[in-house]
Amino acid sequence: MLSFDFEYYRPDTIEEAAEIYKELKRMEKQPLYFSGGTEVVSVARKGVLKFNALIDLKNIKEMRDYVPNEEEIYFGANMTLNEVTEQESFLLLSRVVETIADHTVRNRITLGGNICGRLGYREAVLPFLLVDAEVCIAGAEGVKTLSMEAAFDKRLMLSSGEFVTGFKVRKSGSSLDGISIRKVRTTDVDYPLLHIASMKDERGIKLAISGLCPYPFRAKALEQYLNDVEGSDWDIKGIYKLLPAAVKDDHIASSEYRKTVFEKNIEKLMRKWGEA
Amino acid sequence: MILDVNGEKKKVIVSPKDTLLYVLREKLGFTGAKPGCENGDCGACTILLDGKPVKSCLILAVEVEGHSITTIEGLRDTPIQKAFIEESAFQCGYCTPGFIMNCHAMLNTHPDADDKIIREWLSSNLCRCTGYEEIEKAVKRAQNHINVV
Repeated sequence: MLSFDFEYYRPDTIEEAAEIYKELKRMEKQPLYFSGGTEVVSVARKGVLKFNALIDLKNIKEMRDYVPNEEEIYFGANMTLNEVTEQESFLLLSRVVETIADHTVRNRITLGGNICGRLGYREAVLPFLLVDAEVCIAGAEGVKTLSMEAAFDKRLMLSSGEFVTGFKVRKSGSSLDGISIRKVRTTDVDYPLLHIASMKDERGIKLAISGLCPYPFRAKALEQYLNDVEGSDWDIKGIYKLLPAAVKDDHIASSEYRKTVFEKNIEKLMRKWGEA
Repeated sequence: MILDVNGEKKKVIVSPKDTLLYVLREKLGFTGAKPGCENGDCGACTILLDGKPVKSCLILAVEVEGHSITTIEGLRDTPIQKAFIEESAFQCGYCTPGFIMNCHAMLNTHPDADDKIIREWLSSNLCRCTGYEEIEKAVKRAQNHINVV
């Protein structure tokens, strides 16, 4: 059990959830939106996260929907990661999320929860960063749809009272082939030292990366460099200046170790695309 | 609130801060689900929620009203339970209920699970006695039994 008391609300609609949040804030409470709950429960148990009201979004139907149609695919933010792996319309997304945590926990972790989580990995966002996805964000003013590129900078930029309801991708982008390379230090069930998601279209190779730096990112400068140079005629040590942040150095791995893993796997990725 | 545990309706008073594991064990007496890491890593607390394996230490009891909960006490003479005995797939036994619940759900979902699926599903549970070989044999024995029946 958790060590502190809080109120619990389970709204049935997006509007009701936003209204409850607004009302709780008016009462000077500390509300927190809640979906799969795996991170909230484990972090709150350690006393790292405090709140005095939880707003559980699981009952909101449109946040559980998966709607593939001719033009685009909609993924509700409350789809569990295992539900996402069962869909076949965006295969790179399936491949990326099936490596997060373990199978049992993926029955609870949600797509929105992973992307909005406190941990800096947020791996589920990688495929969305590659396909110019859109994110649907609800708040007191209703639901707005933004491009992922505009809404995601290190993390999803949500204002107070806002929450993610779903993600949209165009079918033309999601149907492209993709490669997911995930490297961990020891066992399969671990945080990634490196997770690269990659796609290729007529403009060239696209890359999104988690685990290497403190936050996930679309590596546009690196993409341009790799697409411009001929064959393997590229300066592997020079690629770090093309990253948006320094390579992480922490208790899981030193930056030198991470760089070695990164260099080997960028080469592997380029070979794979060369063969494709 | 009323919880549906092993097909029976159980009336129980819970606080929002109570985890499902805590309520099952301390308020309803279903002690088969074990507290291990209580951080979602070890799988000793695995139960089935609407037939899917979940870690009950990561779930608040208030979340699951209206859902079907199955604990190890709700299984009787299943193929995987028999196979665990026949293969001696336990040593200290602390992780066993969690493993059995996960294996049971896997065999219901994938009766013909191959090594990849078995490894993927069972990597959710840890055995500190490291009796993994026997657990794998038990799964395969249960598969044979299910497929013969």
